[in-house]
Amino acid sequence: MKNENYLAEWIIGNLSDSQLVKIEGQVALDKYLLIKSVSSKLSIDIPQTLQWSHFSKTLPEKKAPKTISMTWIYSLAASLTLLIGIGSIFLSQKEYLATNSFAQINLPDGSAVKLSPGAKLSHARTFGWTNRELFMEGEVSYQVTKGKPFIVNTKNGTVEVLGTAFRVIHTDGYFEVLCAEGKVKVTHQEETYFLTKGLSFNTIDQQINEFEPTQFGNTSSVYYSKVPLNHVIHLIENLYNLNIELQSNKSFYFTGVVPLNNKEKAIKSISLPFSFGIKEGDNGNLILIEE
Amino acid sequence: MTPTKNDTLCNEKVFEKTFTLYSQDLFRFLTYSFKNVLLSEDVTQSVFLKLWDQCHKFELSNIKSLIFTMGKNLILNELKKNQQNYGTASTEIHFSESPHEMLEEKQFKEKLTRSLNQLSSKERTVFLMNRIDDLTYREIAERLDITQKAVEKRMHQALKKLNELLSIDLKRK
Repeated sequence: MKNENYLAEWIIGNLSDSQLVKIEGQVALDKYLLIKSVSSKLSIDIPQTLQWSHFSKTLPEKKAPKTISMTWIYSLAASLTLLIGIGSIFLSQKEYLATNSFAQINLPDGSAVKLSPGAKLSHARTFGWTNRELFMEGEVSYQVTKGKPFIVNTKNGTVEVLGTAFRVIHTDGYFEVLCAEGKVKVTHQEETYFLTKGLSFNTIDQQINEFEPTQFGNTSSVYYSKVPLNHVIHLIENLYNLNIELQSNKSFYFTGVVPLNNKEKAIKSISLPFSFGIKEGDNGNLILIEE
Repeated sequence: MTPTKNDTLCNEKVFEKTFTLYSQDLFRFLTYSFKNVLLSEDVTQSVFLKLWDQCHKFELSNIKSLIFTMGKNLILNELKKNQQNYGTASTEIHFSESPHEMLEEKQFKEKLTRSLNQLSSKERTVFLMNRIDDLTYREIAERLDITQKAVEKRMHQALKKLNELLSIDLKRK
């Protein structure tokens, strides 16, 4: 006998799509799938007044009772145990790795991140509780909820934000931050840069540049401004499981849009602007030749 | 380890943790149920001010469901008292704008929002607590002080109705 609340079972994955088709039909399933995916992306703005930093100021002060503990040695022992306990929670890390597709992750504090193929992200298990600090490699886009400072660490620099959308690229010595919304603070080699909507920073220019923020956040393509061409090649390699070899010893920088849903167009997007010739290699790899 | 006297709400660190853990949950829950952001914000603040004020009275062990019950009672009182101030009849839930959206997705989101606003308060609350807050049915049951079965039923009905409301909405366009 089927569960009378089968839709509740289905949306949490206890009932498969094909089982639901049998009950409701394909047309209904399509609509339910749409409800499921769109509703999972809904969120509600939390008012500033409900941030602890804000709310704590409205609290009337409590007179701290003076207590001199006679059994201080026991409480010392207890707090040591507690510290060790907290330490081990703190030390354990949560790690995410995107292999050959984009990975969308919802963080414990409600922020959403999108890992591009090849990207790595990690944070302490206490993330969202005591801090909002992350470590990353590769290319990651962020949609941050308001709250405690949100800090992204890379080997090349640090990004600190309060609630915004931005993207960070960190590969082979290249570091780029692009701000699509809100405000971002970037620290690189002890210099601090502030980015607002439509501004980007990268380690080649070492200065702030403008870009068109509407380019950001499209799910069928990805926009780059002056990134090393190798970064884009890696992305296409991971995405379409290709092996691409660039025969040139010059450094190329890519500006433009790479389609994410079409292999041929993606390859064209990197070969056309530089007028590279494309040749198929012996072991199925693609060779880009400077002409 | 037995709890020390520091493990009460009167300890500011404990209070901060409680606030951080549940204030946004409570705010969202009230907004889902009563569709009134301003009122939900006021009530959430009042609940935590009261908790702080009478911190020695509360047991930490059942603080979660207590916060939700306090919030619900307070908001119902407020609604009775000054219906005119908050204008209960005309309020609607609005969701955050996201720059990652494509046009198609945005349009569907608008339709879904309209339909969600037409659900009963109970159905909408359960649906959004699962979809936005990512709570399991058991966790929702705990917070609302109802059985898990009742949560599942509301979820099922919410989905059924959303499907119907969206069909009407799509035809009208």
